[in-house]
Amino acid sequence: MRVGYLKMEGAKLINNNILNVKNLKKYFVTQQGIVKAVNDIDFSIKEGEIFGLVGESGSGKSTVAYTIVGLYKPTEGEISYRNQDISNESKKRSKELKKEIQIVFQDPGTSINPTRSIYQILELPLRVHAIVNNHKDRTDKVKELLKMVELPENYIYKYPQMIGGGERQMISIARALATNPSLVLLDEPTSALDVSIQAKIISMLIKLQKDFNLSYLFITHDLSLMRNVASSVAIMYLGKICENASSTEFFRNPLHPYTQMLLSSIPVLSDEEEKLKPEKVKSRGEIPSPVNIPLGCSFHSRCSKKMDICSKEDPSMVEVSKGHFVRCHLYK
Amino acid sequence: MKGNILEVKDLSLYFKVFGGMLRVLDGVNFTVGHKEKVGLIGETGSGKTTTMKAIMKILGMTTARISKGEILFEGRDILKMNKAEVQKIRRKEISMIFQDPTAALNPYFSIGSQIKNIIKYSVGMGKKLTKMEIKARGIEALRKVMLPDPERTLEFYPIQLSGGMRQRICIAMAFLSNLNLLIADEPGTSLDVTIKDQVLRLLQDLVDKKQISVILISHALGMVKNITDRTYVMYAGSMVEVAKTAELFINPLHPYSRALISVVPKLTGRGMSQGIPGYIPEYLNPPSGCRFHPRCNYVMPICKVKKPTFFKVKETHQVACWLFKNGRSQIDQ
Amino acid sequence: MKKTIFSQVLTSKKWENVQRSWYKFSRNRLSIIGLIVVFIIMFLAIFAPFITVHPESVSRYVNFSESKQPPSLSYPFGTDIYGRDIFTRTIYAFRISLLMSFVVLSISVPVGVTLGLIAGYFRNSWINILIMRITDIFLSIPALILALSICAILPRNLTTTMIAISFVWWTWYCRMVYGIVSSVRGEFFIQAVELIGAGKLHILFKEILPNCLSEIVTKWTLDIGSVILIGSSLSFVGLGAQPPTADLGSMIAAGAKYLPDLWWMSMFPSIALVMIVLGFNLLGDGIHDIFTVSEG
Repeated sequence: MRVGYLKMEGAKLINNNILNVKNLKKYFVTQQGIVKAVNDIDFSIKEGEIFGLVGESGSGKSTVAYTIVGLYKPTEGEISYRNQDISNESKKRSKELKKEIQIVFQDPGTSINPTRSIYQILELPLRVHAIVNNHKDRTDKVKELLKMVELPENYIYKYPQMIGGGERQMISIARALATNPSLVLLDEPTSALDVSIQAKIISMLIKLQKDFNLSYLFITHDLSLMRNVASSVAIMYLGKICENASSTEFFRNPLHPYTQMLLSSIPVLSDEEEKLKPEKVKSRGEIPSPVNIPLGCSFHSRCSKKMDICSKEDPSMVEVSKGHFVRCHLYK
Repeated sequence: MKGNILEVKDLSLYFKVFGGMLRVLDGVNFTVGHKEKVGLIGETGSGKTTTMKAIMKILGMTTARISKGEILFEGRDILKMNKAEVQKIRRKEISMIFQDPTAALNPYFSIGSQIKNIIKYSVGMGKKLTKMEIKARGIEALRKVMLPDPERTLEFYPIQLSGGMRQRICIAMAFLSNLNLLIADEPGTSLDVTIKDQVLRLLQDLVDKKQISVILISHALGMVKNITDRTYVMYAGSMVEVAKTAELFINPLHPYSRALISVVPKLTGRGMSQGIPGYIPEYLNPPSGCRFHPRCNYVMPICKVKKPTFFKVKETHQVACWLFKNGRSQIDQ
Repeated sequence: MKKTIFSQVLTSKKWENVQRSWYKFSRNRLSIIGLIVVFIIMFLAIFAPFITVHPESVSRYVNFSESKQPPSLSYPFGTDIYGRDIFTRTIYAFRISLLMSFVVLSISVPVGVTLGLIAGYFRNSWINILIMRITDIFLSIPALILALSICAILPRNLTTTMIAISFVWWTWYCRMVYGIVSSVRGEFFIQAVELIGAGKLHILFKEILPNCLSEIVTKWTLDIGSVILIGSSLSFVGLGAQPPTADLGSMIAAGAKYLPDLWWMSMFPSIALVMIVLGFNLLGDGIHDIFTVSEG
């Protein structure tokens, strides 16, 4: 539904979207019922941009990333990378594609194999994709990767338990960048880390993005972080996108009640920032389980501005101003 | 009431491990007054959880040794107490809420049976409570934390409830006894933003109603700012700064506190800070003198040699930093 | 993920790793006892010809004048009904026991582990069903009975007994590794490596297997004692090493008939058997401690 995508249909690619997601659905069949983790979403990422995806538990944000990278096969819908349809699982994808799209997982403790040395972890993608072909060149490239994430060379002899969480995450990032990808998916890369380490990693991620003109899908629940990182933001709730806008527009004029609730819940440190938050929308109610999504608009059970129609009909995405999309009955 | 409910005086603690001693706590000084809400900010590895565990005496005593210091609860030294006295304090006077409510609840027992046990052993000590009474108290406790349908919730198992509800149950359990001091270790860290907001507001409500003292430990600075009266900043095993909370966030003095506050992503300005250079120190061989000196922009020769004590900058603001030795109250640029 | 202060204690030096392993091992006194016992047994087994004074006792030797002698200076464990020195035979029996466990485990562990890896990784395939059903069948029959039945259809000697026990033994490793692989497989680090495009062989043996090693090595050590025990049980009923080869089980069986008069015939081999099994068990506990990452 983004403007760029509409222009693409039938014509040459006008603006350079590296990723287009259309009508994406991912359902899981469980004992309790069907979990509609991702329930019909559309968005696009421009080449060289950092696209932010925000949501709480049950929103489906991680599932989106996993589906894009190929851990899951979409139940319905299309994912296209550089105009090429990639809507299937990783094992059915070409090796070339595996090089291009990489992911960094949330938990540094389990994203790298504790029984392998840093050298072995980093040289694997180099070997699999034959980026360098002999042992000496590989060692050099591994050292180069370590330098890129500002870690000392002697780390090649270390094992994951010997280094801290922040450094492990940097190894995950180095591994993701080893194949020279164009699109990197970052699933809450710093949520498990302290603020000072988070700052280090985020500023490094931003620098790498500029240096190599990477595109990021950056997932987090921390809106303050998002503001400083992403150029476009989409909010997800129970499998659907509620609001999608550029970062500045988003923080200047949040429209969806859920967005406003999220923003008012951010803990801030200065009075200056406190004033910037929308009027206090007190959060209330529990997040429903994705097995039991309420009828109509999925947010109505917690919405302070609920109207009659909200419990009956699911609103559709509307472009309120240029590039600012909302899915809410209040804006028609 | 006179005096402080809790005073930690010059507590030093180490762990005996392969390779020597991990000198984790290095002279911790920490007080909590009656009805006071005290925050403790520090990053992972600063020693804050170790301090709390020492207070609750739940450290693994095989490897942990206290080399000096006292922990005074209502004037009596916990470290010198015997098991029975410590048990009594744990049951009736101090309660703790942990970071991960899922880990704090036993997955094999229903909520009701876990609450029942607490009521029996902490509240009901000395008097025999009937089944009805116990159940009634349980329902009352759950109602206090705004759980919908408390009676049915008692039948549930932890796995059937959401993270927010589990945390609320942990809070309910903490408030079952007539506690005087609540220690909350990173509450809400494992919760979603909107749920965390609700749970923290609830906690604040309960604390205000009961007029108890609270120690709130967190690395989430925003949470601490909103709830506490006074805040300590901890780094590498000792307190580096303490001030009235509002004062601390407006005018942090210790170089570490300033760095920490500047590193938090903000809604104003643009761009992320680069983080604090260097790493938290190794406890096997910690830096001499002030443990922050290898990372400090304002390091002076004395910092490498002698550890600073608290210097009073204002009545309610103290800093453990040689820069503020002679009553100086700001860092010269 | 909670980082504790203790990750700093680790360094990358190999010798330090050995030292640290020793530190963890030696904290439990029983493990040290186990280690000493095992050393003694292995020493005796290896140097058997140099220690024993009656080497003829392990061959077809009969000396009725010295038979049924109670323990004495020249015959520390006494003699049996044929006049053979029980002490010599016991020491040589250690060799058989150790050989048996070595051969059995060298076959069953690699086979069991490989099958477990394959079955655990390729969850939804026919090969998983095949391997696991066979494993289930084998595991549902008590090991001793199964080994007995196999021995019953094969010629009676030490080699066939070892084959029979191996036949039974691999299934435990298969089941154990299957369990570990099932959980490790879902971990992010395996998904990450799959997404990079690594080959299946690499994933199974270089990424997943190292995560099973601690359990495998621990079980291996504990199993040495168990195999010896099963082997001795089989030779007690006449399978396994055939006379005149000295073997603990058959020695106990032979002496059982003469209890309580010639008590030394059964007693010493029995004690020896207990010592071996106990020794390896305690050692196994200690090895388990080495792999356990203890909380500080």
